[in-house]
Amino acid sequence: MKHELFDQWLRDGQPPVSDALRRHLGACPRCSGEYEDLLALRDLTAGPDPLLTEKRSAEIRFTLEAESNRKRSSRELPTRSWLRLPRIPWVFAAAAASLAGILIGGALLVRLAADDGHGGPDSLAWFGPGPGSVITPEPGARWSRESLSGTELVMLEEGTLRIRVRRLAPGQAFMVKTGADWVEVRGTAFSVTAGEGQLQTVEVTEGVVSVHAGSGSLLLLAGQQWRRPALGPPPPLPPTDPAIASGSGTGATHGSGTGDTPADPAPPTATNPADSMQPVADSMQPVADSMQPVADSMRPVQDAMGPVTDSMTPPPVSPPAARTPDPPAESPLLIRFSEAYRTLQSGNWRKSVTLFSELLQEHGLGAKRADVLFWLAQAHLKGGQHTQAEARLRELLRSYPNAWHAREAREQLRLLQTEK
Amino acid sequence: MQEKIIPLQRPRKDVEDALTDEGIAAACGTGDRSAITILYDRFHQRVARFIYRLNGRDQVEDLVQATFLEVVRGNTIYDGRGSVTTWLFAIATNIVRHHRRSFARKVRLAGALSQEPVPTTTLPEDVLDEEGRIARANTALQALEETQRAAFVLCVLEGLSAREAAQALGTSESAVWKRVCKARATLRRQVQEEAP
Repeated sequence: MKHELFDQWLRDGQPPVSDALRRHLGACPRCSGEYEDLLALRDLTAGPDPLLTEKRSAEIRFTLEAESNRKRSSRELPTRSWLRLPRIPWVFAAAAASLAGILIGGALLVRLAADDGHGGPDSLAWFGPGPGSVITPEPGARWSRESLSGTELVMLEEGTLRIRVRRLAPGQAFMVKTGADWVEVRGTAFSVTAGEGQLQTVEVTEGVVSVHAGSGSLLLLAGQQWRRPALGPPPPLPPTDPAIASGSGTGATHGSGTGDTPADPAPPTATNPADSMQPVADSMQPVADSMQPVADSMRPVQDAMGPVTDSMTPPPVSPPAARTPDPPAESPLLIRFSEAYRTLQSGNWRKSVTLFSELLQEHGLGAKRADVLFWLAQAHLKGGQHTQAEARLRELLRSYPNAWHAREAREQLRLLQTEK
Repeated sequence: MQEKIIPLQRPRKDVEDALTDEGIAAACGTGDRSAITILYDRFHQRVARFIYRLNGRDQVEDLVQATFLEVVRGNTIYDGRGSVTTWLFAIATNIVRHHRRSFARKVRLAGALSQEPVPTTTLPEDVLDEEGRIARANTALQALEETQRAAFVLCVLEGLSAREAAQALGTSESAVWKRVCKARATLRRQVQEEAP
């Protein structure tokens, strides 16, 4: 008998519908017998459906997600897909178009930055927190940049950086760190100089900057400048931009309108600080509000830090620095957070649980507490401590129901409950 | 560059239901985590049943996991030829094939080391008649040659057409039918011969 005649039956898993097959089966006892035989074999060998238990199924799903995350985080690319690329003709056109887009986009970005007066040939624009943010290093500056879970960390060893940070989203942060000192911003333009392993000067042209040096902290508003007190010979001042030196308050501290060279003089319209400061101060008021938790936690000690001078007309906001006792000499919260996060990423979940738990005891974390709770839960999950992870996730959702990772926290809670 | 754990963001249920199997399988090739989860939810029971019939009860869950891990790792990418079921069955067939070879090596090694007889698939004699027939049939199915067993399971038990089975096994339709025919003959003979 032709087995192809069974094809329809086999495909649909139903009794034969083909008229030809039906006629043939009715007329041919041998084929009819074989057909019955095949049905009997099918019934004998089919067996019960091995339904996976819900628990085991959830475990497999969890493994798949973890593997997917691992694969993406290590940026592994499937080799076979690359091997197939040359066989697809439109890939070349798409690649060429993408390359052209990147080049044109990059050129436009540099041009826009230059037009805005915040960039130059040595500027570095990045697409992390605050798109359009620009770092312009002075000649001789030694620095590096790191991106950690929404935190941009610039390590400045020596020299001067002029930085413009666009408004950051909640949960994001930008820091400049030199030795034990650091500067935290949330959307501003400023320049920072380091030397001898310490911060030397910070000059703010827009927004609010939180400066942490030695044993004290303070907030600098637009137009204010902080210099490290001269214990010995005064620190050499950096070759400042004429716009900064003249007290320009428009944020155009990084060159002229064309921005071809950082040392270009500021445009004449930028020399009237009183006119330009008012809109800047208004636009930065939310930034000042968002900095309050940082200010509260860091407890500025202005005397311990040195003089704050106004290089421009004082901005129309209240004085930022309130006098409080010295804070304990401890590492910055965000640095500790980054360390705990790195520890988790390196696979040492046990240590990261300890670090995150210690961090959770600290006051003044502000919105970062949501991050700490979430990553502490991830560390517990990595270590198989599902009960603790569930508790942390619940705490996160209870305290910060609108946090950016609330959705994933809910999904993980659902998985954990399914597993139970 | 630091590693980041990227959160899973699964689409809403209504959006998820509107996605076709083919679209989800294609998205899996791009490393889309949500797509992988949806694909698993839709197909894991069917893959488990196929693996159970192909390999028996042992390690079904592990083999299901290995099948979908192949998808996650991008070792096999859905290319739009054939159905998603065929594609997954092809992956599962290879997984089972490798597993059986590995298992056979271990059994040989264990037998050589212990000098004990390798366990065979003989049946207990006190089984009831009907159960005995089912057990004999399944034992005979597992004892089939690998290619014949895969063709038989795909065509007869899973209901794939000869064309789909040929795609899954990487062979021709006529070869599939030959294997099904041989498998059927072998099974019938063994079940009848061992019947009391």
